[in-house]
This record gives sequence, C-alpha cells and structure tokens, in this order.
Amino acid sequence: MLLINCPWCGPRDETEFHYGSEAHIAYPEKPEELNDEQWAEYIFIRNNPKGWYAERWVHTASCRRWFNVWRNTINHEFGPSYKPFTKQPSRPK
Amino acid sequence: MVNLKQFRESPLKGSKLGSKSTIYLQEKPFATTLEIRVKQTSGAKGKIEKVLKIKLPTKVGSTFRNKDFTVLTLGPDWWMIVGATTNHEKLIRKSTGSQFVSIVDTSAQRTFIEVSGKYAQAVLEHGWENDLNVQNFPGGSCAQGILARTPVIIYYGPIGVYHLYVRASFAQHLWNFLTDAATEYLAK
Amino acid sequence: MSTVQFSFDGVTYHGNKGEPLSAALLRNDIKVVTESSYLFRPRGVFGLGYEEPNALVQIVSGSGEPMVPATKIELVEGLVVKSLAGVGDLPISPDKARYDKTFKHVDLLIVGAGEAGLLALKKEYKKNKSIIILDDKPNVGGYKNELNEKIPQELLKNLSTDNVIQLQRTTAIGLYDQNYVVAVERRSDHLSSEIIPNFARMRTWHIRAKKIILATGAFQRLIVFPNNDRPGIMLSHAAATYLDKYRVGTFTNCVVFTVDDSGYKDALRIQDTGTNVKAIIDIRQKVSGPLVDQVKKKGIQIITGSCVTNTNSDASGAISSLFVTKSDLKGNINGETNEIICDLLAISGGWTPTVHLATYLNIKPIWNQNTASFNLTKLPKNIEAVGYVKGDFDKSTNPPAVFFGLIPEGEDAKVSFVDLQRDANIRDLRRAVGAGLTSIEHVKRYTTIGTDHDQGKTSGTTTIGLLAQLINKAPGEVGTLTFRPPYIGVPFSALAGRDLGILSDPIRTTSLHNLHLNAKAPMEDVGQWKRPWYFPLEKENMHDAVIRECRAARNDVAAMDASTLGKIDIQGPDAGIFLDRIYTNMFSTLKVGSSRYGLMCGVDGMVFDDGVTTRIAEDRFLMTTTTGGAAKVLDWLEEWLQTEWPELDVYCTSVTEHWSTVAIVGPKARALMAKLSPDLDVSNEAFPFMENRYANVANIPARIARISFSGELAYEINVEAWFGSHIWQEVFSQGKEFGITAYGTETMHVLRAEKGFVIVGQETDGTQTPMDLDMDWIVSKKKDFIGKRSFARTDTSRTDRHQLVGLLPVHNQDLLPEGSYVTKDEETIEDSVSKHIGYVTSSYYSDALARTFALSLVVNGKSLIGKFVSIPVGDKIIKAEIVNSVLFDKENRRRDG
Repeated sequence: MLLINCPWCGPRDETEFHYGSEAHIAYPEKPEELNDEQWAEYIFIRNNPKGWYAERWVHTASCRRWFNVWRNTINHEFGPSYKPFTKQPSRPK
Repeated sequence: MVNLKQFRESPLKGSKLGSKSTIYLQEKPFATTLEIRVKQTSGAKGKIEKVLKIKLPTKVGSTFRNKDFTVLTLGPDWWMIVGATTNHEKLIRKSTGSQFVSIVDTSAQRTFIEVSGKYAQAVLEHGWENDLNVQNFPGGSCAQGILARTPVIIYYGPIGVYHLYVRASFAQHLWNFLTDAATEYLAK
Repeated sequence: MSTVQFSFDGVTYHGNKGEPLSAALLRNDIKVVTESSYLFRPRGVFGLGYEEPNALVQIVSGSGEPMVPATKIELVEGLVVKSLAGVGDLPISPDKARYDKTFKHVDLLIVGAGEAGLLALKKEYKKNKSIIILDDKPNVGGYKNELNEKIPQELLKNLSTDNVIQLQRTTAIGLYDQNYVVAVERRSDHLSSEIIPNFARMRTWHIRAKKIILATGAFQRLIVFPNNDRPGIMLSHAAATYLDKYRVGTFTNCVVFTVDDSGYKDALRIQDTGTNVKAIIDIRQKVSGPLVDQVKKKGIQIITGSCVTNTNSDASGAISSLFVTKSDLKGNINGETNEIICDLLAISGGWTPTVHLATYLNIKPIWNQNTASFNLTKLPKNIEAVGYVKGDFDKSTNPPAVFFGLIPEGEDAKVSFVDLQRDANIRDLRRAVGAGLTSIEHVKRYTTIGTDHDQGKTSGTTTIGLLAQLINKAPGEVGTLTFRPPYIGVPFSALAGRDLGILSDPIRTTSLHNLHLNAKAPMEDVGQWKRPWYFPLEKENMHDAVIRECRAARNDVAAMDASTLGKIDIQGPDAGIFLDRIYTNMFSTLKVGSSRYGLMCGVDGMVFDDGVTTRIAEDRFLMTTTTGGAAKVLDWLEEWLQTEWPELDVYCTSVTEHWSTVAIVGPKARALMAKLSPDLDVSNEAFPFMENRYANVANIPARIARISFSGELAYEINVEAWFGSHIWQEVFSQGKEFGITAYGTETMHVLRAEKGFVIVGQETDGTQTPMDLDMDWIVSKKKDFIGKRSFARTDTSRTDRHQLVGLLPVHNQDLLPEGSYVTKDEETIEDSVSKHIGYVTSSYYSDALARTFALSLVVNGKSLIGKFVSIPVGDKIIKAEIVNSVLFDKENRRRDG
C-alpha cells in the first residue's frame, strides 16, 4: 500500500487515488494536423522506465485534484509531488 | 401553504443505536448543504465570506464554524457549507454578480451520521484508513476519504463527536458497517 | 496453573492451561504426532514456534482451522484437535466467529517484544508519541522468557502507558511500501475453545508507522544427516524449553548435537531437569570457556570434531539410538563409529535470523561468516533492525561452525532431510545440482524446499549452505531465497474481517428502495446499485410480468424508478464550450430549458458513455450519465478541466443522490401528469419533447423533463431525494384510474431495445465508434471534440468493423441467448465453427412485435441487412434475418402521445 503525498491533502493511502500514467503528455493542439502515427503515439505510447518516472495521480476520494509526482519504479520510493502547470522539480538522485 | 417537511423521508429514517458510555450512532437527517467552488484567487471568495459572515479556510481539511454554519474545506477551491440553503445561494449569487462561482444545493445528496462515545475513534478505525490520532486530526478537522469502501466526509467537531457525511445511496451500507463494528464495544 | 482437558485424535488428555499444545502432547508421551506428507514417515514435535515443520494439527473445536502448528496453540479446556499429514481440511460449515480489522497510524512500530524489542522501546519511548509493540507469543521476553530468565522491570514499565499499544499473540505477516505493516492478532483462541459471541476471534492490524524497528529474533535450524527426522529429534532450544519451562519430563537419555555454544547451554538446562545428557557432539574441533567448563563439571561427555551419522528407531519410529563418527567441517567422515542409546537428540544447527519482513521490500540479507547467518545490515531509512535479526547474538566464547550437515550418497541421501515438511532430502538437492541448477531460486522450485506451510524457516539457510558446498561457493555467493508474505499461514477470514455477506461490497439503494422491497420486486445488480428487475403480481413469473409491464407502457401508463442515473451539475461561463469538446454533438447551441441526448468518446474514438444533458441556465447544465458510468464520467470531466483546459471556467459537482427521478411512460402519461400537476400545461405545444418545466407535483417542487427511453410519451419527474418515496406513492395513488403499472429494469431494456436504443456497456465494450452503432447523425462535423481525430484512423474507418444491427429469428419464438456467436448462414454446428462474424448483445421477447428479437454486432452488418445468419445454440442452429436495429415505431410517432 503506497503512501502518496497529495500536494493539497498531504500523505494519504493509495486506495484514495487513481493512477494517470506518464505526466507531461499534452493533448495535441491540432489533432487533425497529425498523421496516424503521431496520433497513435499520443493515444497509446507511454514510457516505462526502470527508475525515476514522472507520473500523474488523482486524489479521487478526497480533494479530486490531479497532480504529478516522481516515483522510482524499482522500489516505489517517491520523490516530490507537484501541481499541474508548475515547474517540474528535478529528477531525484 | 403546505408544510413540505411532512413529506420527507431520510435515508436512515433517523436511526440510532448504542449508548454514550460506549458508542452511540445516530442519523441526524435533513441537514442542508451548499457546495461552493471558487478559485482561491477570485474576488468572489471574499464576497461570499462577507455576505454569509463566514470564512472559507484555505487549507484542505480545515474548517470554520459559527452558530449558523459549518464550513468544511474539501479541496483547494471546494467548500461544503452545512446549514446553508438555496436562500443563501441567492444571497451569494447576488453579491458575486458576474464573477464565476459554482454553487450547488446538495442537501439531499448526503445524510449525516453522528458517531460519539468512548469508543467512537476505535469504531471508525475499523474502516477508516486515515489517521484519527487527535494530535494529527484535532477537533475542527475534516477529511474526505473512504470508510467501509464508501466515500465519506468526516468532520471531527466538538471533542469526542464525529460527524459523518455519507451519500444517501451508501447510507444504509455505512450504517450496517458501523453497527457491526460497534458490536464488540456495545457488549462492554 | 490449572489443568484442562483436551482431545487429540479422539483421545482425551490433560495438560496445563495456556501451555503450548506441543508441550502437552510431549507430556502425554505422544512422540509421534503425525506422518510426513509424501513419504509417510513418523514425525514428532520439532520446534517451539512458527518454525515447526512437523507437528501441524487440525483444530476441530470452535471455528475450526486446518494446519496450525501445535507449538502455537495455547491449551484451553475443551480443545479438540486431530493430527494431519501435511494437508488440512477446510471446515465446510460457515464460520460463526467474528473477524475484524483496524487501521492505525503510529510514530513507531516495534516488531518483536523480546529483549531486543523491549530495549528498543526503552530507548525510543520518549522520542515517539504513539508506539505499537507487537509480538507473536503470549508474553513479552521472547527467548529470555523461554530460558525462564527474568525480564528487568525497567524494560517493562513503558508497556502499560497511554501512548503504547502492546499486542501479544500478534504476528506481522507483511511489510509493504512506505512502512506499512499488516499484522494478525489472535484474540480468543486462548480464552475459549468455543466461539465467543460478539468478540472478534482475530483482528488484522493495518499499521502505517513513521519508523519501524525489527526485533524479530532468530530461529534455530536443523542439521542434515541420515534419518534426522525421527520423533525425539528436536531443536535443542525447543527440547530444553519443553523440559525446563514446561516440565514435560518424558525423556530419559539425551544427546546434544551442536555447531555452536547454544547446544551447551541447552544441555545444561536439560541435565538440570533430570533428563540424563549422555554427550554433546560438537562438529567443532576445539571448544573452551566457562560454558564448556560447566558442562564438564556436570560430567557430560563432549565429543568434538564429530558428527551424528545415522539414527535408529524403536517400533513407533521414535529415535532409539544414534551413531557418531569423526568428521571435518565439509562432512568428510573418518574413523570409527560409536552407537549411543538415547530417546532425545537435541540439535543446534545455529541460528537463522528472522529476516522475512525486510526481504519483502527486496532487501537482501548479508552473509556473515562469523555468525554463520544471513543478517539485516543494510536497511532503508526509517527501518532499523536490532538484536538477533541483525546478527547481534549472545557473545559466545567459541564462534559457531559453518556446518549444515552431511551430504551422503545412495540410500542415505534419501533419508537425509533438508526440508522436513516437504520431505525434501539430499537426493533431491543432488539431482537439482546434477541437472545444472546453481541458483537457489531454481533449486527451491526443483526440490520444493521451503515452499510448504512453514516456508522453510528451519531449512532455508541449511539449503543455501549445502548448495554452496555442492557447487563450491560460499553461502554469501549463493544468496538468500525470496520470501513472500504472509509470514505465517493466515485464515482468509482474518484477512476478510467484517467484509462478508452484505458488507462485502457497498450496496447502493435509491430513496424508493424500501417501497420496491415492499412490492416484492426481485432486485437486479447494476454496478453497486440494487434496481427493481420486475414487479410480479402474485404467482406471476418473470416472463408474464415483463409482458404485462411492457403492455402497460405501450398502451396505458407505467412508472419506473430512474434515480440511479448519474447526475452531474456543470456550472460556469465556459460550460457550453466544455460540453462541445466532451460530447460528439453540439451543446453550446442548446436552449435554456431544453435537453439533448449526447454521446462521449475516449481519445481513441470509442464510445465511452451517453446520456441526456439539460441546460438549466445560460451557464449551467445538468448532465446525466449511465448508472454504472457516473463516477467514471465525473473523473473524466475533471481530468480534462484540470490537466488540459484550466483556462475554462467550469466546475462539476455530483448530484446523483440529490435527485429522485420517477419516469411515467405511456399514452396515458399526459393525463396522469396533468392530474399530478394541475398548474402545468402538459399539452404537446406548451411542453414539447426534450423540454423541461418546473412545477409542483403533488405539492412538491419538481423539474419535469420530457425525455423518453422507451419511445413512448414520457415525463421524468425530478424531486429532492427525500421526497422520492412520497412522489412514487402519489404517482401510484393518482395513477390508479389510468391503470398505472410499476416496471423494472427488464421492461426498460425490452422497450429501449425495440426502439434500437443502445446501452453503453451492453451494446458496447469500449471498441465501438458512434458509426459502428449506426449513430453517425450524432457526430458533429463542425467542431473538434475528444476522439474526433481517431475516426480518421485507418482502423476506425475501415468498412469491415462490427456494426449494430437487429436480428429476427426465423422461428419467431426462438430466443437467442445474449453473448451467442453470430455465424455465416450455415446448416450445421460443424459448418458454422470458425465462421463467426459477430455476437448477440441484447435479446428479448417483444410483446409489441409479438415475437423475439435481438440486437447484435456483426461484421459489416449494415451491408448484410436482409441476409440470413446462423446462431449456434447448444447443439442446434437458430436462423435469423439481419434487419435494421430500430424495430418499433421507426417514425417516432408515439413519443408525443
């Protein structure tokens, strides 16, 4: 059971959250100008690194806010959480 | 004018159980609530506070209480005002004018269960995963979370009394859970 | 100490209240407790705690429980147990006992209340506001307690304070990310052999701790030699404790076989109880020091540099003598063999730290040659190890030998046991190595060592050591096995807690639920909701009830509870623009007071949810969603608002339960509506289709919407939920003269399917575009919306996709089972195999059509209209014609009455 730090509510149990996969993948500004491959890349393709990963979570059961967080996929260690549209903290060591 | 109150029925029909010396559960039906959404930076926030003579606290989980209202901060731009009605909604709309505020009457959306008695915290801890230690969840705190796999807002009001706001469709389930969790304490 | 009566395998015995069942068995001279699982060899008590590999029993009294170590059962009056050979029986009757769980957040959790745990408590007490200290034994003190040594008062004084929760008989079974520990407390089995009413038998503790101190101690391990499994062969600490602490007094002649000084300490304890210790056999060449002197003073013979090479048994299978020979640390036997008569062989193979909890976090224990053990030395921050688990053993004069046993060949290999519970032996280990396996993980799986109930607590390190020897490596190079939670066997009932029966999942009900129950309506599960399925009259079956309900809706008037639909209040100046992006069709153009049906898709262009949305005010909409989709849709809306379009001034608020919705449906609905709401002009001109009006209904303020999910004239009455049951009753009392009939979800399904209305989740499974559902009309060409780009992808624009069509069975009473394959038009089952071109999504008997019909997704279905297909059902073929999905009132003539 992960303990996830919501930027608004503080550390809370994983059961209150939903996962949102990789962070910083924006909806394309002009989807109609993308070719099929680029559009498929946006919809289906995500990184799956070993180590630190910037990902999205939403605090569904509480403040219902989306945020980003660094997580180490090897040992589930968490780095800093940060609000959407704020500067991304540097990758933890 | 017909008094409409006679036609109302609450989800738990005012159920109560237990004793104050151990654990006491009671539905307190028909609380009125408005859910307010407004950005912290919006000038409308101050106008709402002024017109209702309340505070909309900034920190999620903190509350404000006066004789008319209990304000629960559910999100960074989300408050539930217990005690407010559609008449208050009109007052707010009048004072905020064209400034953007979302106001929703959610009075019948939830019902309210009061949990009190010596073992109130122990009973809740059988299903509530968040910290209820008084040093981390002191009187006047609120939290929205999951109790018995049910979305619940807990407001820890006057010492020893928890106010549970539960969506009406889940109320009977939560009541069943609470009464089951209380069994051992009631036998004490 | 009081005497209690218990039953073992049908025979009544006596024992001391609170002592381990294993002690009572020994005192009653039950040396052979069971047969081994695979080789059926007699086995007896071997250990003292959860390490016990042999003496597992089935508890019959009380709740009953299979496979419990006799070492961990505290004797109570009336206890009934039976022996079992490796496999227990799950009790068949429901367990009447209660179980629960509790969630705790503490500053400090100490796992283990032995000396190390108690010292940690003393040190940490002032620094932490809330502390849990848990321990799997009935009392604190751990190993010291078993040695009958007194625990200093200064280590106990903090236990009974307000900020310490002390849990005995509680075992930490798992350690998870961010210091989350799950522990199981056994609360009543030591109080009564029967179920105690209103009292949880077990409690699962979910503990989140800022800091964890592991003081889990260590287990003694076995030594491998031929016939090392006979009853009467025991771990030396267990043997000494049974004799010294529990005074079981069964043995006459004891021999100790040891690799460390523990054997000497235990030999002295055993000798003191009156059991004659004939010799200590020590694999080490040279030993000295005060313990050795004491042993010598007692006249106990010490045989150094030697090893037990075999044992004999009496008729029962218990040990009767052993053979001892000179041996080096590699197990090379050399010299003459002597036989020693004995009925107890106490072995000390060294100590294995209980490192399990830390290894669940993928932490690797490190081999220490000096202590001959794998220890926790490197731990993450906020987790500490103290005492034996860290390798801090009692300072002994002579270091333990790194010796795990003999590795014989031939017949002897088959009876030299490494894992007693699995009957896995040296032959198995040799075979594994012979097959080329060198990884301990592979060897574990090949030999099954460590995979039984005890998870190899006494055999794990031994296996590593022997494997290392066989492949010429050091134990540290072989590395440890991967342990997985739970640390001990735990009944599912303990993990389930009170999440059983009606509490196993939330049951959601509408404000009309009790009225539906009173009407004896069977309920259908729709997600977590209970919805009335149909409303049978007395002695009426479902088929007849549904026909009657459908007929009422098509000919007179019928009412249903539509309150479960998800409802979301959407407010803000940008609400219209927002909905244009969410829905495939336009909403910004919707008039205030009007409603529109909308379809939303994922970015992949697949249908995601649908529903009717109403414009309440210029900047306010009320969206309805499917019953099952409400939470998912709210999540979806907020995700786009927060993460993609923060510039839009829009907020969404769930109001699903705020409103009760009663739909009145049928040609006579207008007359009933007029009666219910005398001030409302219900004429089609004044109140047209897809519009809303506010009026009092039976005195209650209501929003009335002309929305139809049946094709009939219909009004949906929305009131605050606490008025729901009043309105429902009014609808029925005032509707009596019109023949008002209640209908449930089944009739709703029939009525909507006749009209070809899809249900998201029934006609769709996340792979259908609006075009696949023959709903091209709802896809706007003028604007962008979520999913639009995907309609131009090659996959979504190909023509041979599954498309929604109707099916009319040739024999008009044949009902196609939902989910059936649709195949090409073939005559036999054999011919139809592998020719499936689709499947049936909905299938009903229609009273209005006087026949059966179905909806179906068929490859290129629209081009096949008029063609025939085969549907294999059981061993026959049902033929059906493909038709348009709208089968009833194609011209929509009925919706205005």
